[in-house]
Amino acid sequence: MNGESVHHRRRIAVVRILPATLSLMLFLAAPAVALDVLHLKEGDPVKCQILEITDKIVRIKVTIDVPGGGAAFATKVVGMGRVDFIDFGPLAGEGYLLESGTADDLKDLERTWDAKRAHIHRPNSNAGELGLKYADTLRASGKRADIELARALYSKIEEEDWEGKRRLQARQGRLQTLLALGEVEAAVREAEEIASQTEDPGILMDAKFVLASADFDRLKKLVEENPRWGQDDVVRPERNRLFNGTLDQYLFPYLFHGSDRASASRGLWSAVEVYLFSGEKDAALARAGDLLRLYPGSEYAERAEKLISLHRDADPDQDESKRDQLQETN
Amino acid sequence: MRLLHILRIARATDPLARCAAVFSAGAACALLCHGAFGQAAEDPPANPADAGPATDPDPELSPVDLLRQSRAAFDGGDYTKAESLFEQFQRDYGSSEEAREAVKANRPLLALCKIQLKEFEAAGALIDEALLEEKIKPRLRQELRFWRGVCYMQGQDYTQAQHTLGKFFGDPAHDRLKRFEALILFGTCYTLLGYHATAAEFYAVQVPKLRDDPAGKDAAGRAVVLRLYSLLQDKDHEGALQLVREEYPRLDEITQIVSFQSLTLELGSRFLDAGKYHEAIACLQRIWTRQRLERHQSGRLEAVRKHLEVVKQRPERRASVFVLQGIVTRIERELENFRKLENFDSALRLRLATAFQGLGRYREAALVMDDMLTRMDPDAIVESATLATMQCWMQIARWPRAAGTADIYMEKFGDVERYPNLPMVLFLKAQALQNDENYAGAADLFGRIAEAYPQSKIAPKAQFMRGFVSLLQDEYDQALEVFARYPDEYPQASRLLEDAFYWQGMCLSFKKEYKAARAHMEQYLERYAARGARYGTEARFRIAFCTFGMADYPAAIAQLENFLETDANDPLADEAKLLLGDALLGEGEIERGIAVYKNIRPVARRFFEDGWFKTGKALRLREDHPGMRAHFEQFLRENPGSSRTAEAVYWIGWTHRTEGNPGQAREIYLEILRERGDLPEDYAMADIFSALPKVFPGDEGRSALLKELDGLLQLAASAGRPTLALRTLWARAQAEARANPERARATLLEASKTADAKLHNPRLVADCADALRESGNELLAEELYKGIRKWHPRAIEKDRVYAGLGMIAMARGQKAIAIEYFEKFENETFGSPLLGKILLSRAGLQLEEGQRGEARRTLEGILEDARMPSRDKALALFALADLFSEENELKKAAAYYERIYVAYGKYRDLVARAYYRRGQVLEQLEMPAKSLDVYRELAAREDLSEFEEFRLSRARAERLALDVEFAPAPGAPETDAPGQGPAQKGGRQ
Repeated sequence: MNGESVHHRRRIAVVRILPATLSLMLFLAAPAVALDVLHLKEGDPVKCQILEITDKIVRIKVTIDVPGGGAAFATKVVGMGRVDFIDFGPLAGEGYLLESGTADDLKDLERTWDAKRAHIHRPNSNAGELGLKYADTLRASGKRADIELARALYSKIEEEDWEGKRRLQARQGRLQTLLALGEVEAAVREAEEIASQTEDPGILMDAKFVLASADFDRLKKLVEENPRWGQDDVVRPERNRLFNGTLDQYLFPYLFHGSDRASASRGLWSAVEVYLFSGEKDAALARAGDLLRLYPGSEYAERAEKLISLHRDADPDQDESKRDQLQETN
Repeated sequence: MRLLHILRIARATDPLARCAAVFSAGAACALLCHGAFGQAAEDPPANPADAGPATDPDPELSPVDLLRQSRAAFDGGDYTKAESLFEQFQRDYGSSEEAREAVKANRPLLALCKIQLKEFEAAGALIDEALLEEKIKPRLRQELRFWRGVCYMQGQDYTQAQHTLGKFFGDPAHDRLKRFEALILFGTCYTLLGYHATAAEFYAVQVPKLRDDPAGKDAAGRAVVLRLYSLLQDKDHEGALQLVREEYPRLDEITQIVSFQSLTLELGSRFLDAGKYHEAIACLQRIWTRQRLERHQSGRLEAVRKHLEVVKQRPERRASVFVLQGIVTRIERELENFRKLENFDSALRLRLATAFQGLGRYREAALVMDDMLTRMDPDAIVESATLATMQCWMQIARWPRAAGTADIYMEKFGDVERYPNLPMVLFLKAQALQNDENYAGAADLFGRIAEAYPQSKIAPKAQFMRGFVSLLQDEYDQALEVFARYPDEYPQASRLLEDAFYWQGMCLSFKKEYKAARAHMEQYLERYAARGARYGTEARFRIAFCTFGMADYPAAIAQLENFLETDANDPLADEAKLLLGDALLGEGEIERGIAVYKNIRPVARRFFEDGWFKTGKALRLREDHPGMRAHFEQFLRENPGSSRTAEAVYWIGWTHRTEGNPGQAREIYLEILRERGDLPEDYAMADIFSALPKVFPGDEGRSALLKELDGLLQLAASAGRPTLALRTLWARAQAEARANPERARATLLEASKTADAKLHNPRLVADCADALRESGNELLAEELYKGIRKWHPRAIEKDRVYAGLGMIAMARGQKAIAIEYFEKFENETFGSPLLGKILLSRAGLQLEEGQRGEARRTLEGILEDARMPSRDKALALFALADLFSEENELKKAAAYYERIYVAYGKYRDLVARAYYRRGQVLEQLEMPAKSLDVYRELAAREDLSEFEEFRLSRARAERLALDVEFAPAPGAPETDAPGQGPAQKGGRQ
């Protein structure tokens, strides 16, 4: 026997002893990529690159360190029954997109979402988070086509994401798209359902805002159609019901989640608008004053200030203390 | 001798312990020295309470044993024993040269024992001595320096403590976490010295620096809490609020979040007490609920404990153990204290609501408190807030919500033994019902309060209100009963006794029992005048009123004149003047009466105008026609827009007619129409137009009227007066209606071009709308009808609006919409002459929809309603008869048809039809003889000859007569006569 044939025979022997499912390739050390980690029900976690995944199996590529430097890669098929959960590695740029992605990154968001969307239902997958970011960015664009796409995205996440909190966020996002698309009735139905089911303050406040806005629209329509509602024994109760219901709902965040500046100030300003619409100038100015004192620097504080200035200019004799203590009339 | 041996060993084996140079003893000593120095750095002080019971040291112990045991005790946390053993060693062997090093080496341990046992003064002295040693390990030195500062603090030598701790912090070689601890204690010294502003400023400077260091976050959080505390102590509330606002977004970073929130609550309460409501709200909004705080802190505690367990396994992170244990202790203590607080959430909410109330934001206050009542567990605070909630709802007139709040209260706090506010809550609910005009509910509830809680303070008031609300509902007998019983039931309710007595008299007056009412009011004055009768004025008026009501005019005149002397400026004075004028006129004192009428103030509009017209009547009675005319002309001048303008015009015209000047009479009407006919807001002009035919009587008058109206139209056209044009055309249509209905409708169609539902009298607009509808112009008609409803929600023409819209919908085949309008008609109108017609239409729709049962009920409703016009009843009967006929209830149908021509003979068209239909039905019932009678009866009615049924019945009677005459007698055999078939039953064709 010569050395070569011995070497050859040894090599064959090595190959023969490999499990049938393994194939061995020799590479030089490859550049580092974000790896996925397979956490098995028994045994150590496996760092790998997932090549293919179904509900039954996952095909992975693992790196094997070769003595003397370099790395070898092997592919392997693992039954999903053995897998506890998968820690999916981030895709290139994913972290940036989630933290700081803007409308300029829509294409990248779309690509990243597409790459991960198939895993949305798998525990630990952050596909839903990417989806929400993508949908939020689309919705913020204000373009109808984008908003409709966002709605579809939210629906998918709401139905399929493994994480309950994200499903709720998706529902909230979908509610916002309904409003943005002018589908007020659908939004109201949705909001009513949400308001009766959830205790999550964020989504509850959004739902109540939707309901309040719908009621405000009804109030405006009713008053437009019945300008002398005050004399009308039939219309007046309904007008009062809408007026009070709208105000109560708008004020909800301010009263019960007053530290949420955005929602509370929005609601309080909306209440100002309802009072103004209803001719209750004093009550409107009083709430505008409250807004200015409690949420200075907010977007709505600016509007409140303008309103107060406008009326101050119109009624310069009105003193400060009266403005502070303006009471609600009916 | 044994001691010397130990010392030599120590020196030999421990290269680190300097004490080895003194002690040449064995490894145990060296180990002890080393261990002593090391241990102090590693182990945070344990709880002295965990130390074992003090034991007297054994005087027989060797020095080595003493040291060994003392060290063992120290390691085991038995500081009392350790201290005792160290001190014994010091006492027994401390003076010897050989033991000196061991004493020095163990001095730090002893100091630490004393710290554990809170003997800070002694510990401090020991630390001072220990720090003089150069060979002390750096870590131990650091530890001792730190604790020296603490000892100074404990000894209330804060200045020195600050000096020590400041130096400690200033040394960057010291452990970072300990340095942060020293910094916190440094600041705390300011607080303990009472320099709160300085402390606050100190922390303000330090917090950002602490935050810059990743390890300083916990310390930063503590500093924030201490800063807030200092600001509060310094009463810098604005500064504290700013801090709260700034730190709220970072609340998660503060370990002692409960303390921070509690201080925030305190700040909010102070603002509330000071009446600074916005500031109070800003604080209170930022406080979490109990559940959220507990959940947050429990979660944090769990996390920190887990982290602590991990860190304890890592010797290199010993300093972190100290910090983490501190965090655990603080959170545990905080939570323990927090859990003892009762009613946290409800107290917070109540403060928030109080702040809103202080601002006059009653809606906000009510919503916050209402939520408390609904969602929170019933406690004392929630209970007490209920009354305030109801009052807030009532302040903004949300009566149903006020009543609803009472209902929730009753559910949760319905036991009056435990919650004595219950009667008051119910009382407020009753008031809410009253204000919501639910008088029956209010009276009932007031009564139940008085009955159920007779001992309650509110019972007398509730019972009084029961009577009063009954009075408001015109239930005078009920009210009288309550007021009459009142003194017996509530003899102590002095103030309300007077009220009850007075209103009892008023009830009698409202019931027109004037004699009894007068006597009662006289008794009232007798009883209460001396006490300054609160209703004295009203009682005096009422006495005069009743006297007038009894037609005792001389007495009434005297009483009214007296009243006007004493109460000339009272609001009742004008009514008194009116009555006085009437009484004087009743006694024939016309001049005096007129003079009194003239004194009625214009502000009392109704009485004022009554006075004018009664004066006019008086002048008429005196036959002073020029005076009367001048009087009403003055009225017109001084009261433009009065709803009695037309009446005044009428009387002016009357004077002219009476004086034989009909032309002048007409001219007055026309003059005022020219002057005011174009003012849309002066609805009275329509009345004047309507009255024109009275001054243009007869055919000749009508022609003249039409001519004048044409003149007005021309004026309207040339002067651009659209309202005058509209009214004139409308008046023209009225004038033409009887003679030429088609022409009248065309005129109305012309008028409708300028009809504006917003501006114009609904009566005119409704006439235009009807004309448009009848001529098939449904769109315009609909617009006008809807306009009337929109701009005149109280117009009596609402019935025509809904009727018209319903008819339009029917014509379009929109049955559901038609029914909706008919329902509105029924719900929103009262006493309309169109009701029968509407109900008939509705019944027709119901039949079309196959709702036979509903249709029948509708029709029967028409028959049962006494208000219905008789023709509508006849039509209803007819419809019912047809219905029965279709349903094969032929006998009933026959009976109904008969009722029509028997009871409603004046409606000849219906009579003719009813006869004929009855005849047909009787034929269907195979009663040919009877049916023949009916046909013959109709045929004999020449007055009905114009109707088709008359002709048909004649023909039918002839045919039927043959059948009836040739029908076999009952029981006779049937025969076939030639040319004739067998006799046919019933005579059916």
